Amino acid sequence: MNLQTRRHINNVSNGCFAIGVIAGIMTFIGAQSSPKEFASGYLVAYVFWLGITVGSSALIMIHNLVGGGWGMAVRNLLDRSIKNIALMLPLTLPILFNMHELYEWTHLDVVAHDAILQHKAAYLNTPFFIARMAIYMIIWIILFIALYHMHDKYDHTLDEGLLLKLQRVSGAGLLVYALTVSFCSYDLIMSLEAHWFSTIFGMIYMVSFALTALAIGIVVGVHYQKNQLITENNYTAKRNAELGNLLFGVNLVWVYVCLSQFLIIWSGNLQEETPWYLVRTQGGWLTWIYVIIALHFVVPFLLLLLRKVKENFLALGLVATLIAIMRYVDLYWQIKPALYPQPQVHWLDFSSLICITGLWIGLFLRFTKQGTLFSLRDGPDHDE
Amino acid sequence: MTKKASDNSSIYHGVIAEFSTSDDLIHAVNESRKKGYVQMDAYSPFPVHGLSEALGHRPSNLLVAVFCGGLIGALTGFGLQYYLSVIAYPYNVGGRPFNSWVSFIPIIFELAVLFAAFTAVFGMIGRNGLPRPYHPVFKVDRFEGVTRDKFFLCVEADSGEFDAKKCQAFLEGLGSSYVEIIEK
Repeated sequence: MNLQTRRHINNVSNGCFAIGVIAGIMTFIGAQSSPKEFASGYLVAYVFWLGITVGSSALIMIHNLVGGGWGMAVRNLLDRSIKNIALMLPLTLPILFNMHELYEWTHLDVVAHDAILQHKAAYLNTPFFIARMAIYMIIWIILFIALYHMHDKYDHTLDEGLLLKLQRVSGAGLLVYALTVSFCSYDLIMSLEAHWFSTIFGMIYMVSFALTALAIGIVVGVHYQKNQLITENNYTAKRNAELGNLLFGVNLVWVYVCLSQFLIIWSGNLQEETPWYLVRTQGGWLTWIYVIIALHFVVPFLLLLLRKVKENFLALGLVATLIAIMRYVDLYWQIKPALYPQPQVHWLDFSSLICITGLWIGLFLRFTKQGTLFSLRDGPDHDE
Repeated sequence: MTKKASDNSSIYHGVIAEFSTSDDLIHAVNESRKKGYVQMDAYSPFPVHGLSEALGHRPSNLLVAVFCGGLIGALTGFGLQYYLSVIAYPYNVGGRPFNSWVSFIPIIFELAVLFAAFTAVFGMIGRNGLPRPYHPVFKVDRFEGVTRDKFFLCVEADSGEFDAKKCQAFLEGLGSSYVEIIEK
């Protein structure tokens, strides 16, 4: 990377930080008068970017175990993405400060008159919730530091012993990923409606996080390839097509797990399970789910069947952008109806999304200035 | 070796040449294409990277057939269940509608995958001309080397302006260790 590119990235990064901070200040001011709108909108934006950060680690660990050219194409971008857990750590604080706005089970007077919430109080209480968030963060930070540094060292030394170690950490790490993401989704999202439960909920978020990370990874990879920051030998048309196939597959897995949850609850037709879908399929929220089905599933599904789309950098970049946007819309539809029976899009939703997006991209760009944007051990033999 | 001096290309299958490395094979394919031969087939003991590109294999249009197969499977899946639960044997399960399309989805999906997979497999076999118990290249004794360490290029007789003798000389010039004209 030459001096001019570095300077350019610096400027863009500073611009992102500036936008993020300005949006952050506006959000903070707005939050004083409408804390509930802020808390729910912020939670959606937070989970969206947390998903990209943590989901990247799943892709990295899978690639450590199975290898393949697709991973080499976006490998170092994902490595930078997991470093952003340093940003997600302080960004958790606004949620902890606004728990009372979001979670019914923090209202002790409500819990006192609710037998179910009383039974769940041993798990769903404020101190334990904060402790759990801290535990997830500590686990992720340790795991991501290990993944990043071991891969960096392996890249430079090509020590086979290190690769074996990296694979062991990745194998165990995927298990840790499954557990932390499951419990994190139970805490942050499922407990918004504390009476409701779904055993496949954690699975949905494991897939969602990896899907969002993959979509963003492709968008960034295509962008860097177009601007020749990643050479043609690293982000090749063949790998682009492989990433397209993977995006197709993961998106289909997401549909599969979401449908499984819906199908089980629909056939069971039990009154403790159906309310979650009832509120989300009535009034304005019904339109949202039709839009999600059309633009998150049907359109990308048909487009990604075409070989021409997957072999074209720009076309795949656009499909990945669509999926990333729909990931946010889907999260909005999962989280907001818990607090709003009818959709009410508030400007704080946008300002908190812009705030976190600006800070996240700004920091990501800072990280990309160190080292190379492609793995040093990359070569055509990874495609065999 | 066949010695028949005739330019009647209909009696020939083509000319086969043996090479000892995959690089020689790809080189020979490229040179033959430059020379104007269109119909060729290459044989190797393992998949050779870049060989099908060199031979000019186009992406197959099986894709469309597989998509249609999947669509027919999905419609069959829906039709079967609709016929069963709405027309043939309507049964009230907990007050749910007879046409409970939500619970039909798993079977619709399974049948779509099954039909698409069948179309892909049988379409592939059919388009490859399989099963095929006899092939003219089997006449060449040295051809069994293809299962071990030899690479073969067969320029086929319906390939542009085919002249068996000229083709034989051309392939010998490409550094082939053994060239033979094959009859049909």
